[in-house]
Amino acid sequence: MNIDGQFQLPALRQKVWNKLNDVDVLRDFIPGCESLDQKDETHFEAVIRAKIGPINAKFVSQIELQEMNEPQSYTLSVRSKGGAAGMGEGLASVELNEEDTDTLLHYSVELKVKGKLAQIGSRLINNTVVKLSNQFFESFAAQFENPGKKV
Amino acid sequence: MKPRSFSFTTAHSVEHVIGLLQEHGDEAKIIAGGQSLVPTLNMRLSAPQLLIDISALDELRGISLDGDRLRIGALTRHVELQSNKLIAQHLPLIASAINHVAHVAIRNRGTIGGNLSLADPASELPACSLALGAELSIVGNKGKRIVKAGDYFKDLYETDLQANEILVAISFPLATTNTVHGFREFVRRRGDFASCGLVMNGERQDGKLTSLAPVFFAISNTPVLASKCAAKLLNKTLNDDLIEEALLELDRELPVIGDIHTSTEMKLHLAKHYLREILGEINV
Repeated sequence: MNIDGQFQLPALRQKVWNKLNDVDVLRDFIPGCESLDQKDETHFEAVIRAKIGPINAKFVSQIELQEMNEPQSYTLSVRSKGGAAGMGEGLASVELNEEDTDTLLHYSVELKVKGKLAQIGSRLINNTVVKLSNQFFESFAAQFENPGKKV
Repeated sequence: MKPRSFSFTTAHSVEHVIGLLQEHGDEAKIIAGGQSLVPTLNMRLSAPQLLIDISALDELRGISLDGDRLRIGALTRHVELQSNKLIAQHLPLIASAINHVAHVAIRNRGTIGGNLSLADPASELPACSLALGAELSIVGNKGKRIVKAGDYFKDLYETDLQANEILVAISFPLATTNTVHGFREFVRRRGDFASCGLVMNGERQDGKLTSLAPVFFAISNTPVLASKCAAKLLNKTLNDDLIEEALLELDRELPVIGDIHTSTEMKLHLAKHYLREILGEINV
């Protein structure tokens, strides 16, 4: 299943790139993120609690950065395990384009969900991606609008 | 599969429920009909430590006239909505939509309060509430507040209901002799979750629509009121050209999200098709 979307961020592209690659920033803005640790330059491990309606499950995710093309594009490969709830695999391509002093971020996600999560939630996977990415980018964008705000 | 072990308390008052919610926070869940909660417990997609059973709270029951509105207690089951004379008389939209809510076994247990608290985007009653201008009575530690349906649905499974609050009743304005309504939904099998649905409520005078609320469901993260499309249809004599022009607004104002069974394009196609059909029906 493929989902894509875009967000306008009020900052220059290099600045957006730096923030998107800053573990401390991501930890604050990823919805439900309980921990995010960098293993090496391109590998991360995250613990994320997904609370979507009747579902409340913890996922341990292995994240790998691929095809890094600073400051324009990269790909995120994510494998998540949620114990009894099931598991998910995702590939997200992110592209940053300059628009005057703003940056237009375009993402495209390919997602596979397995286990009980797929049984009960397959009809709402796209909705969930839209909700969580909106949540992430809205708070992510807000930090540029309030340069004095500590993030 | 069986759920993880949990404690179970039968609440004896609304205040008792709120106290327990405050005490246990995220680890407590209210159980009413249990038709959405129990499957996720059994599949271990959630594992709260405490279930608060509200089924003994008679103050949350009943369907009664309250001035120019009909008040429905949160614990009212779908099957009661189906057979109630006041609903049939005063809320024809709900009377026609309720037959499409899930299956008999689920309607026997599921409640309107549970339905609106969960707010599944494919659910019929949230869309009806929005189309009818319902008001939701919510009680929390700061007392009671009334929220309009238009302000209640926030995002996917996200409503204005806060963590230590409980929905106690929903009230609806009564239909008049001028009221027009319609219901359509596309499901793969009767009783399944819809892939696209439309509930419509409005008023007509002298052959023209004076108010109109077409609400689409199962197309996005919340039910969506197509207000721009509706505005094009008000106070004019309906004809095919006017309807087609109004339908074009749906391309712009419906934030359609496709799913595994039904693409974005198909949902939009169905949305237009259903509105065209219902408008044709009421225009006879």
